[in-house]
Amino acid sequence: MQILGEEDLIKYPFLEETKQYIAKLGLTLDDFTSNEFEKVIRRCELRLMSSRYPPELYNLDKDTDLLSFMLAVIIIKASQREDVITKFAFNEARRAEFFLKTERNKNILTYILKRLLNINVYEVDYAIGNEYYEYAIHVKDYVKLSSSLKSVHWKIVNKIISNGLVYLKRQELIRLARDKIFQEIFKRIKDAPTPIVPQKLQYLVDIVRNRPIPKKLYEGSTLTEDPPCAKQILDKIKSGKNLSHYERFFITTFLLKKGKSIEEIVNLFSSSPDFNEKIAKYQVEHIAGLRGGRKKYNVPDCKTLFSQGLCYKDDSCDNISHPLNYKLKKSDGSHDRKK
Amino acid sequence: MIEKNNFLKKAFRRYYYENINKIYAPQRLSEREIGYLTFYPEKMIRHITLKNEGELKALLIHEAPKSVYYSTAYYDDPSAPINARIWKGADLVFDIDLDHLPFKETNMIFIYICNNCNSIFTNLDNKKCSSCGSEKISTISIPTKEGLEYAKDEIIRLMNILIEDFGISKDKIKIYFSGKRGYHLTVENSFYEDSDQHFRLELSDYLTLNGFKLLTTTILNRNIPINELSQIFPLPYEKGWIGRISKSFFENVIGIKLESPNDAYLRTLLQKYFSTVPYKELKLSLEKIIDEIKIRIDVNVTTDIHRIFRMPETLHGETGLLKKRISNIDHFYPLVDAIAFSQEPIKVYVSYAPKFELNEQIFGPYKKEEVLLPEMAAIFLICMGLAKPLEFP
Ligand code: SF4
Ligand SMILES: [Zn+2]
Repeated sequence: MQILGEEDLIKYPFLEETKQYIAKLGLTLDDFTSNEFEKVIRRCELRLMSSRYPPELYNLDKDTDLLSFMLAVIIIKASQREDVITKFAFNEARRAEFFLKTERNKNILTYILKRLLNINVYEVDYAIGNEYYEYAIHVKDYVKLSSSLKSVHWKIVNKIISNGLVYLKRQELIRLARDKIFQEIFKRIKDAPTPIVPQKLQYLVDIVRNRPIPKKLYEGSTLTEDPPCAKQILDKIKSGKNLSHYERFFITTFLLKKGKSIEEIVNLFSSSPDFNEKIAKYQVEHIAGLRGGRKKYNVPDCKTLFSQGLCYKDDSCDNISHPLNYKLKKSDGSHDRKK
Repeated sequence: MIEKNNFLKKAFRRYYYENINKIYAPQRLSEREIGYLTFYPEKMIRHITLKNEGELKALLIHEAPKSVYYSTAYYDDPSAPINARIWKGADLVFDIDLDHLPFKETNMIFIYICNNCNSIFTNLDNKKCSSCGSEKISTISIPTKEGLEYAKDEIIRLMNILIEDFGISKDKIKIYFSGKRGYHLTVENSFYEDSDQHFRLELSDYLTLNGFKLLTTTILNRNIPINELSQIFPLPYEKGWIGRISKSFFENVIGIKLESPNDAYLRTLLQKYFSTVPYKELKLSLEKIIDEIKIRIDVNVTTDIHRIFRMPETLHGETGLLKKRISNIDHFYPLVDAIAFSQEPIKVYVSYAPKFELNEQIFGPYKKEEVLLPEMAAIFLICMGLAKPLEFP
């Protein structure tokens, strides 16, 4: 069953189908050193070097799009720069989002959304006033897919829900797909074995390696004082990954308690690929109790972090029940704790 | 005077002994953590595993606990320390308590006891004891029949939303009288069993309409002309909250009965309403509806995936009433159906009791007097700390 044509593969080069398509061409990395692939290399350079994709990359190019995508994946892997993986995955996800938004064939759109999200996607036809809902997905799937989206718009309380299904507008489902594409590409590169790049292409790897490193994060604080659960998240931020709703909540309460200012925390989040200063600031202020309900949130305890899958307990945690007790117990080593 | 805890423990044990056939274990008992509260010294015992119903029955008779709890979560090894167990999922649980509902005089009777001089008051000025000036005051609240009916309404609305919006089938839902001031609802074996705290937070926000902005962004937009507004305003049969809000709007604000209304007719009513009523008033009446219609669950209960929850069919140590499963909510009367103890008269000393109702009998008010009361009423007051036993039944 061939639903997708060649043009679709070019729009969505990360789909499984493209691997088969490329395999049929029987190319090896060495082939790219020959002059006939010069245009592919040019396009690959664009993919590698842009911090935001230029319009050029949105014009489909049959001859170079698939191959340059594939080559970029290999080069980035070889460069071992995690922040570039993030940028690249984000840019590709944005590019795909653009094509999904302009997709005229609804069958193809639905097919691709189903394939990408890997969940049941139902086509519905429901309108309230001027709001038109074309898709529905299960509320549990929805909450998972939307967990990194922070605006209240995405909370289920602001969605139409009936019989276990969340009703979504076309652009909303596409937005969820974009996050998923980001994660998939990121994971694909992360999990791939490190390739050996032919000498003639090595300069591409160097270009990536020499991209400026984003400004140092979380400076002025010694990471060793933080419990494993907090460290884990700070590392994630450092490598430019999106945090889940709860990770963000926890680390914000934690850093506030440790005396970090709102500005410092917002700044820390600024390397996240979908960073929006206004929203981030609002959220940090909200957690600090300066906004909304004016409720100041406490740092969750170990039990809660554990149930959220965020506890990375090791021996250094001893038997503490709250991450804020971590440092105390440690520096208090002279005392023998009573049984 | 007979020692109170000793008296209650004996009474509770006798109840369990005589009614042990009415005890049944929650499903998958061996995968749940069990905990209980002892009478004296009052202590919480946790991290217990019970292999089967027999062990549960033995525990009830042997320990005669003040209160018994079970975890709503399932674990591989419920008695292991919390970080060492594998969490396998948890029932969805909801608690509706009169304490969380909007205050109404007729719903609860409040009594204040000074912990310093033992004086009892029915109202408290300045949070201080008016005889000795102490600020250490305990509050006792006794739910009334009206109050419990009011809470019942809330639990029924909750159940309907779980069914209609979340697609939970009715046979997976169990409703209980909590044994004190409200109702519990649990959902077992559902598709949502493995959902994490984040999901449960979202679910709670949905039910409590916390962060609800759907109307603000659409119809509550000043710039929409009346003609258009009456065309896009949601109608009562829309899905989810929007439909419920609209229904309440038509019934309570516009004031019509929604039997078989047709769209065109409803739209004319809207047109008429919007052209006479200023925008501000529309906004206010919608906000009022939203505030009334939300479900006031205790969010902490629903979002805690390691919660221990009162065990069904066991005695509540603060009332002597049962946490009772409800099969037909329209014909359930908590102050009749949840009574555990007998009509056997016992002599007690009552320091203070307001007029209260149990089993359709009216008692009180009493003040510093010896009274002969049926066991059920005597234990009720003793559990609340308002009376002391003078004899064993
Ligand atoms: S035990 Fe507590 S402090 Fe240690 S990693 Fe887990 S949650 Fe963090
Ligand atoms: Zn006093």
